[in-house]
Amino acid sequence: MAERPRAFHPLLAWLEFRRALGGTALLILGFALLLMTRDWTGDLIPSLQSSETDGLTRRAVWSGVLLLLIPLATLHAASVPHRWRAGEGDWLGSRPVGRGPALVSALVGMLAACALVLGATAAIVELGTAFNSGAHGRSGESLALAWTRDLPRTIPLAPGGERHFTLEGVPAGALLSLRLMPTYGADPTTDARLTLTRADTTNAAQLRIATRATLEARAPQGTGALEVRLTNAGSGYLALLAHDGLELWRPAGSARQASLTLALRAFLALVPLLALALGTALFVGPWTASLGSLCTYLAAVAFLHAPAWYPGADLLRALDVVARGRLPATISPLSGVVAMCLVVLGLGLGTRGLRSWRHSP
Amino acid sequence: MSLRSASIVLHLDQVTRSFRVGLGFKRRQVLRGIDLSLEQGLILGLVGPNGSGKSTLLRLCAGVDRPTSGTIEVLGGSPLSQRVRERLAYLPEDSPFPTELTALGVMELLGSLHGMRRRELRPRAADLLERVGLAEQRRTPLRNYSRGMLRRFGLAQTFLTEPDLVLLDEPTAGLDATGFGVLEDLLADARARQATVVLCSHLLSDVHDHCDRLAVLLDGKLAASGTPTELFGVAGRMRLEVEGLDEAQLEQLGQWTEQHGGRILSARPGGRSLLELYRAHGASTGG
Repeated sequence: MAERPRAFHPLLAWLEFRRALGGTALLILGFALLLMTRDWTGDLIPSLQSSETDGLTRRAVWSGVLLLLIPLATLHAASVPHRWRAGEGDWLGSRPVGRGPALVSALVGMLAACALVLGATAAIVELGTAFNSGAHGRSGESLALAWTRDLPRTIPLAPGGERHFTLEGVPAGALLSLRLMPTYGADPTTDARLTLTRADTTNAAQLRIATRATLEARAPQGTGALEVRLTNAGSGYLALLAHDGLELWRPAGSARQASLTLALRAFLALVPLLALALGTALFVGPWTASLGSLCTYLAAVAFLHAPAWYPGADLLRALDVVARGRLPATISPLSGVVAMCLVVLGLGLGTRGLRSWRHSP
Repeated sequence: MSLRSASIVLHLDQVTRSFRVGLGFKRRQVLRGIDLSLEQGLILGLVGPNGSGKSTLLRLCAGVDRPTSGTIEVLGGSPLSQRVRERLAYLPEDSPFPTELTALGVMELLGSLHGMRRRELRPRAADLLERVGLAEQRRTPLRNYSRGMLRRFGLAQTFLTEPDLVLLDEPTAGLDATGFGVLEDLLADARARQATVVLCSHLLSDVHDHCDRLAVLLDGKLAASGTPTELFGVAGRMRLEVEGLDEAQLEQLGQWTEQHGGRILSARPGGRSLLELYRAHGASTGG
């Protein structure tokens, strides 16, 4: 009559999917729509390109949605074991369902609901910005410039001074972006010139620097080494914010992929968060379990400086990049591996904690 | 398979269960050294006052919970093994099924957890819901069910997989009149299939009418066990329900009893049961 019991139970996942969506999903999506109706550019609009206004909208909507979704989804995951032990375990625990498959099915259901909310948010954001402008602007993807970490925080350039360095492996069309600011001197402003040379071709850009500003130029065609020259062409003093103000942007597809990359990052952050909340909630209360799981994530963001290998830890940085009308760097495959390890840890804890489906008579 | 007699379906050996209370430093002993055996095809009534440990004992037998000490063998194996759980069914006391799903939806969910295929599950679920009088409400979410309907649904889901061991926790609690007929019907089916039933209740009528054996739990201990007659029977006393006599004949019966040294302890006008009343007025009871 019966087949062999399965390792995954689709209808159990479907039940958790329905429960996770509930009214909360509608609330979050309604909030996203509300945020879309607001103007997030403020006083900046005259100086912004269309890709940047779209970027600011994307950041605002995604920030709002993620601020709601991540804690609510984590708390929901942590409340599942509580519900089981409050009575549902009586019908679930007496069935030929392994503890692991029950946890996996619940997790898959909840993650599917989160994926749906993230997908719907991406659709809302991209459809909303589609009416703002058709231009895709300066999309890109940052290339790691690891050596900038060894540079001093600022590199001063006296009037007429020059700084020169060489970059290898820079693709044609890549955008070099330098963040500059004037420093104290007789003249509060100065002129900065950026020259990029490869083979016999040179691209240059010049900007008057009166406050903190970004100077950008595209890499010429070719495959050889790229010669970079920054010149202080004015009479004031100039400083290059080298430590975190030196970026190289690879040309990429449409800026509309921004929502997709943010959704993927958020999903990747949610996978271990929900698994850890589900697992630890079998030992402690749902609030403690969800707070504990959120703290592991926040610790990775704050104390480990958002390493690329921790799933979704670079979400804040990605939001900043998107706000500038660009695409964040591709997600590290290592973060997927780490996410799976954390899922195994969470489910392992859960399986251990689910020795009994009841805590009280 | 254990070395114990193959006909023993349920065997408990010195089973205890305690729970942490307060800050966790103290433990409350709910079951204290229960020894019990039950043979195949019998209906065991587990009786005892509230808090005597009946529900905890059923949960242990269903594999929902683990004993603190002692061993439980169900259908020749541990109740925690999936092989055993495939063959048992459990009706919890509080009907804690997902109320956002329809009756048919919950049946499909529960059947799928047993690995039942949809083509065999659907007609079986529909048949059971028909039998418990919920055919018309099969697509209604359980949250819209009354307590009596929920209990009838609980009975239906218990028999979905034709289990060899059925564990019923207070099956008549909150049951409506229709439900009593359904319960009798399903128990008769179980008996015909040689399935074993453990029925837990604190109502004498539940266990006296349906059970072959009784076990009395008091304060977590097995205080007594035996047949209903052994436990509740009093020599020389019998409860009679008489039908087909007129007033005068009933009076003569009373006089005859007194002439032979007997005494009528209670007498009340006989009548139809609620279920019979419903049926007489054309209600479809499903039972």
